[in-house]
Order: sequence, then structure tokens, then C-alpha cells
Amino acid sequence: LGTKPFILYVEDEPLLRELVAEVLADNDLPCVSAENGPDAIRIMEDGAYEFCLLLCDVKLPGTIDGFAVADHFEQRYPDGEVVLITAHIAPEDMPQMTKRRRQIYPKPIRMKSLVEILNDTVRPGRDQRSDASAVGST
Amino acid sequence: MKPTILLVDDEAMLREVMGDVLFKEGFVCIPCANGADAMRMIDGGPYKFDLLLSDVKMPGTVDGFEIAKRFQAKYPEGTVILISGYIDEKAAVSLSKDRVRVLLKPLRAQELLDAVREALALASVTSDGDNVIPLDPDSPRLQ
Repeated sequence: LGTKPFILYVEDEPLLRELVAEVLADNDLPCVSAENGPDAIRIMEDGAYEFCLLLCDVKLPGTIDGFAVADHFEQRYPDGEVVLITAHIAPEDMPQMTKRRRQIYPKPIRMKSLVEILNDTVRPGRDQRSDASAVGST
Repeated sequence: MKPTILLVDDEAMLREVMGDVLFKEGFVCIPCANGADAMRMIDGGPYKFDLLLSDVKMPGTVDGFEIAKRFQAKYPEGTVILISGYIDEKAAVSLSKDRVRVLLKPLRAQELLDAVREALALASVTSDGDNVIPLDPDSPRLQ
């Protein structure tokens, strides 16, 4: 009904960012893309979109990494989900990884797997919203 | 007859989404994760290719330029697009000739799709249209 929440997708490699966004959209997982941490935070602060999930690489250019973006996202969207992707898991990162209900996946991740993960994570909330609107409309 | 692209990139996720998007654009796309696999696919694979789309920098001893040489020897009517993040625009222009085009990273998706369409318009499409599309690199057809 035009109120479908979006995924906030943060990836600094433009080709990957654009192509993944396209594939997600094809799988009924619309997303808004950001190229780095500050960009992602700006999009959240603008408030133009309702986000249900953050999909973010842990390693990002600049001083704001994926964990910091996730902290910001969780503050702004307490019911939102966080899916982080990382190629390097350092022991000192463990507290950040196990924080709240964050999901962490190693790189490289297959696109098919990613779509399944996002569907499994996003659908329950989305179905609840559809059920509520169906009840309301009858 | 669908144009057939040999796609070589060691970045698994990028390779996969490029394959998905090119397939959606109507192209058959055969993915390879490295130069050695690409060489094998050119030499003895079950496909006929119209376009090589390859990253230049590749793990192992075979880089994109070597793959391009082998591809052109086997498919003189085919076209080549190489993608590099390690050369400047001047070098890219000097390396681009006839049926070879070098694109620089960072690259936008639209730029890539436009280049693929242009390259395939230039190529004499030789694939027979019977190629199957194993977008999954683990597909047994690619073993």
C-alpha cells in the first residue's frame, strides 16, 4: 500500500551496490543505498524512508564502520533488524557482533543465500503488517 | 539467439549479481572465478562466447589481459571488456582498441550495461542459442 518498509543497504563499491540493489528489488526487497557510514546516517536522519532492516558491510571507508552504523540504526529503529557482512572477524569485535539480535555473515556470501536471509528476516514483520491491514480492511 | 558472455571476476558476490543482472537483460552469462578456470572454459568448455567481461586483476598467474588474448585467439569476431581499478584513464584509452574496451573502477552499473550492449552490437554473435545458463558457479555443468 505504498508503506512497505525499506532495507538500508550500505556498500562502498558502487557497481556491487547498484547491482545488489537491483537484485534485491527484483526479489521484492526494496532498498535505499548508501555508499558509506555518514551517508547512511544522513539518510536515517532525513527520515524520508521507513526502514525495517540494515544490511551493511562491517568494513567501510572513513571513520564510521558498520558497527557504528548499526548502533545508529538500532537507536533510530528499535524494532529494525541488522544484518552485517564481514570478511574479517577480529576477537575484539565479538561484543559488537553479539549485541542485540544482530546477524553476522562472513564474506563472500552467495546472493541466493543473502536473499533468503533477508526474506526470512524481513517477511515475519511484513506479514504481520499485511495481516493487520487485511483485518482492518474487511 | 542470445548473446553469450564469459564473465570472470574473483569477487563472488559481484560475479553473481553481475550474472543475475546480465541474465535479466537477456544475455547468457557463464561465470568463472579466476583466470585458470576462464582459460579452461575458453579452450574446452561447452559454450561459444560473444563477449569476454573480465576483471584485470585476478588471483593466480593469469590476469585479465592474458584471458583476453586467449579469448581473441579463439573468438576473433568476439569482443572484450576489461575492468580495472589499477590503471588511469589515459592507459585505459590506449589499451582500448578495435574489439577491446577497458573500463575503470569505480564503475556504475549503467555504464557497464551500456558497454556490454555496445560490445555485443559490435560482436558477430556466434553462440547457437542452446547454451544453458548456470548462474550458480557450483553448477555441475561448470565442473
